[in-house]
Amino acid sequence: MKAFLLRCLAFLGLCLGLVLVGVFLPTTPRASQSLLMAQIDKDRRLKEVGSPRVILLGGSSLSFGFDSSVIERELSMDVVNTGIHAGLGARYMLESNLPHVREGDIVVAALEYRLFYSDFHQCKEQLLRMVLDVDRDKLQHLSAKQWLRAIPRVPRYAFTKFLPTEYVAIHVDPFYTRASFNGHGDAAAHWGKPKKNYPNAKPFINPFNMELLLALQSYGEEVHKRGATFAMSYPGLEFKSLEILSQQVEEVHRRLSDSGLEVLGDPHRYGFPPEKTFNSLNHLNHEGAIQRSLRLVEDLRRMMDQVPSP
Amino acid sequence: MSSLLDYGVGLGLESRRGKVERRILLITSLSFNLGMLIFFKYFNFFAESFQQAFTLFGHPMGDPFLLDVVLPVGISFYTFQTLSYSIDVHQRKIPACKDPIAFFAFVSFFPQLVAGPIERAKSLLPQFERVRHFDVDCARDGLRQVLWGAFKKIVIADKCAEVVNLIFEDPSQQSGSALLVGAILFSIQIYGDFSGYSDMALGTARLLGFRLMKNFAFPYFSRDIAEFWRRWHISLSTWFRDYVYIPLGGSRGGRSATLRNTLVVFCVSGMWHGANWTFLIWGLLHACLFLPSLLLKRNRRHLDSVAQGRCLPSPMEAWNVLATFVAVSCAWIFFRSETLSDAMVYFSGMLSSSLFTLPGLLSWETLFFLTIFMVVEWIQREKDHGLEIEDRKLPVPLRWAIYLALIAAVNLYGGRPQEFVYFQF
Repeated sequence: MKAFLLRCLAFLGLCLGLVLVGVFLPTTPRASQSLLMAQIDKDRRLKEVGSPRVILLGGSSLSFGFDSSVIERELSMDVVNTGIHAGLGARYMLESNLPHVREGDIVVAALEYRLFYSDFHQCKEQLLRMVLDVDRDKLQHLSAKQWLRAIPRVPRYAFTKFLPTEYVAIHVDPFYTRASFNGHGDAAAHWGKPKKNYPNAKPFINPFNMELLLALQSYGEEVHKRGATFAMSYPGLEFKSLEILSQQVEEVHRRLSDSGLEVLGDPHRYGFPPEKTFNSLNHLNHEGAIQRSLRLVEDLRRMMDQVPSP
Repeated sequence: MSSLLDYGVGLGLESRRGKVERRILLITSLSFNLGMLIFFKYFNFFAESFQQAFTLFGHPMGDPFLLDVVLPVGISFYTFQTLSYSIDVHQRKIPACKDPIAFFAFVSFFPQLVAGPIERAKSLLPQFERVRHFDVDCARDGLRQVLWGAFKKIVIADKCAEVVNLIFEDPSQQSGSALLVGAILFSIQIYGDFSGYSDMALGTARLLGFRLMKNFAFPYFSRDIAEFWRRWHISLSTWFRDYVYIPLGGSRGGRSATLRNTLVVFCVSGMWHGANWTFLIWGLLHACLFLPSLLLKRNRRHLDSVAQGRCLPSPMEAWNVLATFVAVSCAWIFFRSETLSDAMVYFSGMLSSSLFTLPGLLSWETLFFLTIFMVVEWIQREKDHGLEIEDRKLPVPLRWAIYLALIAAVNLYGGRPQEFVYFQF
């Protein structure tokens, strides 16, 4: 038995060693082209663009949902679209964005509905790659719970470093690369491309996550302390999916409205016909992105007319 | 509750000699266990079916009273396991278990509690009662079986499930060729999923020094339906044979009795999977495929493995294996469909002219792993599981390389996590 256990330990040691080597190997050429790398460009833009400006906060429904030049033109304010992927989680989005908020900024968060029904401390593969591949300084933004959730994903991450396809014959989806984003941070590579088929939404299983609501409230307070404005908006969603998720969408709207946060419009204003979507129920094509941008502009104007600037 | 009652019933059966008393005890056990199963699993189905039947015959009823209860995980499995204990004790095939811990452990043994194999008290209970010693060979082989089970579930079944779910969600939107691919992939998915679970259960048990019964024996290499049923979900098939088919008279009462008993077994087997007409039709379809060989006494033609001792099958064997696989896959369409009309839509779509178009649903990655999987299963078809290795035949570095490759595949190429198909039963 002793020999067996020793052999098991040796094998586990070998596995662990390989995982460690994988973690510390440099970012692979394929990962260097990933859309997560857009974070570098977005962070740079957040640093460089002067306030006041509009900062858009959310996941891919945001990057695939706005034409920021429309907002910029209509409001005469610079826009930074920070959306990358909902898999990064709401906590990371809020935490990594806050240090960039300055006086006079308007931060508009339009988080994916599913984020309100999932773990606030989630650490999916996208987040793990963000902190290990893109910017290791961002490790500081992870909570202890996120660290724990990250551990089971580390072996997969590490093993990918040994895949030949990470280095040669690299295949990346042209709509999901660093180069897919324009200067504002909008995903623009798909503009003008034909619509793709995608499945409808499925109602979420988990209950509404109050932790996110509380985090949004405290984020709002922090933003106000910095002399900026914080408002919530809604992701663009295809009509059919909006109908399927109607109960949960209504719940999000009700809870946000009751929370004391500034809420722009209502979810139905951001419902879109299928022909204005691209490859997912919340990814819009250019026409849809323009329409959503104009609606947000209307909502922002209404808010700016009502709220005195901080 | 089931465990407590059956433990008491077992002791009662042991201590009483009167035939009537013993029969009452057995009926108590059967009624309670089957009652629980019917209550949780079939109540809503029967209530709805009655309502529909009355409406059909011109006596419309209001909405039926339906239960809103969660089905206890593994109820179909542990119910059958405890039932077999009570029946065996009643028939004096085994003595009653006096050790409550051993008995409760037998019913709730964690590796096989939720999805089998459905163990017999005769083989599992004594293993709890005796002192076990750590067996290195057993533990090593158990770990390998767990690894192979994980590969089958995570890489094969879950990957197939991604395509299968998409196709079965709305078959009317798919081409005939896509539906054909969907049917084939579901056959592979359910095998990878269920036999993967069984491998993990058997392997975990072996690690702990227990030997559970084999549940799968490479069923898709069967040359006819009879062989398929000797190789698929063996613990359930033999349970039905021993506790339903044989008590009903088996094949001893002439052709009509054999026909009736076989139909009963297949129908009950279908309904065991769930309260839905699709499962019943699935069972009936298998009965229709099985009965000709049984009635012609050709059901025990293939008791060995296909191409035993050879690398490749003969053309006839290959044809038989393919034909059996096609028949089984067609039956799975009923099993997987939500309703009978969905299944009919699936069949009509599959048999349309678009059957001869390119499906374009399978990635190269999926095809690669399916090929590896089938080749390994073929090579290992006479062994207990896909990763049964004779240590002396392979040097340590090569063995470790195989383990590492499987671990990497599980980590890198696993499909979106899906619940085990048989957890719902």
